[in-house]
Amino acid sequence: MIALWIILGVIVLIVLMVIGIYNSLVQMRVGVQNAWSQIDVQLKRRHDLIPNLVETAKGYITHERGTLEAVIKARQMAVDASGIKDKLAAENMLTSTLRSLFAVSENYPNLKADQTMMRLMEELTTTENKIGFSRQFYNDEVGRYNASLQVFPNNMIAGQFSFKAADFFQLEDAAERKAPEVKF
Amino acid sequence: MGQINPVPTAGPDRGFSLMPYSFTEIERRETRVIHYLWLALFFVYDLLFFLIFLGVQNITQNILQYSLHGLVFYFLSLWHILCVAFVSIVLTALTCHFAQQDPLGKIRRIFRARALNDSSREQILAHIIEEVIVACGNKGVMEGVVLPFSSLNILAVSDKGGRGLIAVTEGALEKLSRAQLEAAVAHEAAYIVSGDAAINTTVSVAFTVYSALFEGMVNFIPDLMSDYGEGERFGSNGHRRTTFRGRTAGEFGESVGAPEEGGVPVVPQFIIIVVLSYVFCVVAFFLASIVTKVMAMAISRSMVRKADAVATRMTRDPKSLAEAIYIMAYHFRGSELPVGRYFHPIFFIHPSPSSFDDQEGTWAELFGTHPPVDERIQTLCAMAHVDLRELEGLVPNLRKVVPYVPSLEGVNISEPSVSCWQVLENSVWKGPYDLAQLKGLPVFHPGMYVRRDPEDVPRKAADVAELSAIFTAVMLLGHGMGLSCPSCKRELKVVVYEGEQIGVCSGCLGTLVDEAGLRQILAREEVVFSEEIKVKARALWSHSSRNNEWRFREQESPLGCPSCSHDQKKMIRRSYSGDYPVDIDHCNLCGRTWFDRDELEILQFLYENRLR
Repeated sequence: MIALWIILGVIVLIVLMVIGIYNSLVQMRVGVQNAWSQIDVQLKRRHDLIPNLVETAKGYITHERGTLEAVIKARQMAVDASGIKDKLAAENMLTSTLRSLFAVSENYPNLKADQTMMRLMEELTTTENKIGFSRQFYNDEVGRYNASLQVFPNNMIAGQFSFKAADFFQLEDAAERKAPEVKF
Repeated sequence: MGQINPVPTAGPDRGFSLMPYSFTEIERRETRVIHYLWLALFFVYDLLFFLIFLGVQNITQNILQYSLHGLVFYFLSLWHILCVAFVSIVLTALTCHFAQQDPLGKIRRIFRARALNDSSREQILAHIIEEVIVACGNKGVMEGVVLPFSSLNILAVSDKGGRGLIAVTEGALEKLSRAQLEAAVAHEAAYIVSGDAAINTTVSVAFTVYSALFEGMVNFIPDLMSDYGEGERFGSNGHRRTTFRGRTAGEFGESVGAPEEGGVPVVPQFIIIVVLSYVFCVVAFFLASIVTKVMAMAISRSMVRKADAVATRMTRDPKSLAEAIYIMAYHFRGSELPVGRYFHPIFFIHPSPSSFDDQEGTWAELFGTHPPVDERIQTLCAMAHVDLRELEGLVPNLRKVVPYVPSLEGVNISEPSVSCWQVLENSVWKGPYDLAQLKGLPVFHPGMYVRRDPEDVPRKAADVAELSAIFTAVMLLGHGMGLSCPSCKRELKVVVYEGEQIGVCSGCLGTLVDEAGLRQILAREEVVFSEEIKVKARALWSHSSRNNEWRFREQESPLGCPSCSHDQKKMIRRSYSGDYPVDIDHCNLCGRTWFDRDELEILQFLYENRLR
């Protein structure tokens, strides 16, 4: 009889533990999704700023029109992209085209002096910083989540309920880590 | 200026060189330390209360019943223990409650904080705060405000609802770069988001009860107000005084009630009890205040270390944070800030440079509100893999180099100038304008491109010497102020001087500045002074430093206040302060100050160069 109670007790304990771990994993996964949606908000903000930026730059940039078109194309691709991997590639592409746009605009002092352009540039700087920070926050959350998937006994429960490791939002190379620098 | 020791090589000679350089480790460790200390502080606080009560009880009982039982140790009865526990818990709850009463509003009032305006640098601060909120994972509501002081410091408070206030001084806005400001703001945000700011508010108030009691007992009718900076502080003096009186009254009551049994004359016994209890309480409160203070300060230091670590986790930019600390620590931190000592823990760095947080050693370890500046910088530099010596160049370069700026005297109010400037507006060159027209253009700003004539290379207005003067120091707005000069009765013209609108008389070149404007003008260092001003200022300074009694004078001014009905209400003519003996005419009603010709600049020169 006592043995039965003990076994029952152990089973109840295990069930409670499983529930606890399951809930904490779900909470972490929600945290990761939340963090991702925060990046999304900032990326959308960047997508919204770019048409204005290109429109303002068009009036000044006369020679290297290709750069502008590349920015517009990259933006379209980024807007259309779905799934983390595609998004990553598209956003990295957009960042590099933006950087070349800034490089080109160095040659046009009139452009840099434009009021609207200056305001847009400050907006873009802060948006880029926010993207950087939200990406970092997302990566921190992913790191925490992925680590907790791998420790024992979480890994058994994660395998049972098909919790999958989340992707990090990584930049292609270390040099990319710097947000485009806007300098006046 | 302080010298920073070079990077310590690993070794036991400096304790903190062994500190873990990983911010997550520091964060975890300090969070643990803060929680333990916080619990321990509550426990010790109540225990001390209990012990003091026990002491008083023993004194009273022993005196009353000495003839019956001799010297006996009386432990409290269960009823007493419950009473004491109840009183101490109520007292803790009340002080915590008062500490949490609208701390944001209090900070705003005490420091005369103002909301951010539309100017580009304050918009950048607004952006930085938004960015930092993103870095916290969109937790917390924070608002930025500016404190009108030239010292460099930042502070944060938060209320029960988790709303935070990040207050940056004019000086810090002026002298820190975007990255440095971001790092410092992140430090303060870390403080708010982690809830440490709220804990600290309570710690700094609730656990000063013993020291307040001690002071209350020592100065029997305490003038607590004068002790706490400008009088206002967290918590309520009134509340604390009532507690003190209530408790003393209780003691009296108790001692008066009991003495019949002993058969000793009532009055001498009563006096002995009162005197002994009084002495015991003074000593006990003193010791208790030291114990709680040591613990509260340890919490404060841990919080600063933790906030540094969390700021690094948020911005991943320990170098900028180290730079910000360095610049603030070795520049002017602001003894002018109206702070009582209870406010010190909420600052980014301790506002007075001579205090413990600059030092190392046992005393600083026990009583410093902040960890030693060098320790903070070294830890951050080690995280950033930066040599400390790189920071040493930061401070001398702080003063902004402005190529040419005329003094106020140089503002020619009616000079017709040649129309030669074209400006680029919405991709079209407009103009030509003369200087006065240029100044009047609503879109005119330092980053705008200008040229002299169509063949000229476009340059930024700020790069052209004649034009940069307009922005950095003096900009004539042309319209009248609606007030007339107190001495020559001409209408004052509005001039933008270091970003502030002031009134200038075109006749005598005197200036009228309001109170907030004067603080900001003193905070900013944009004007380059003419040789004449420098000579005059130095002469004034050397004269006043020779004649000590000459330093502060005050009398009625012959001039009436231009804004509060002329002639009827005279201003006060006095020295700006004991340290800066420039004569000013100040109106106590509206707070405006009238400077005769050159006086404003002389004051600025003395102030910026700290000649006193």
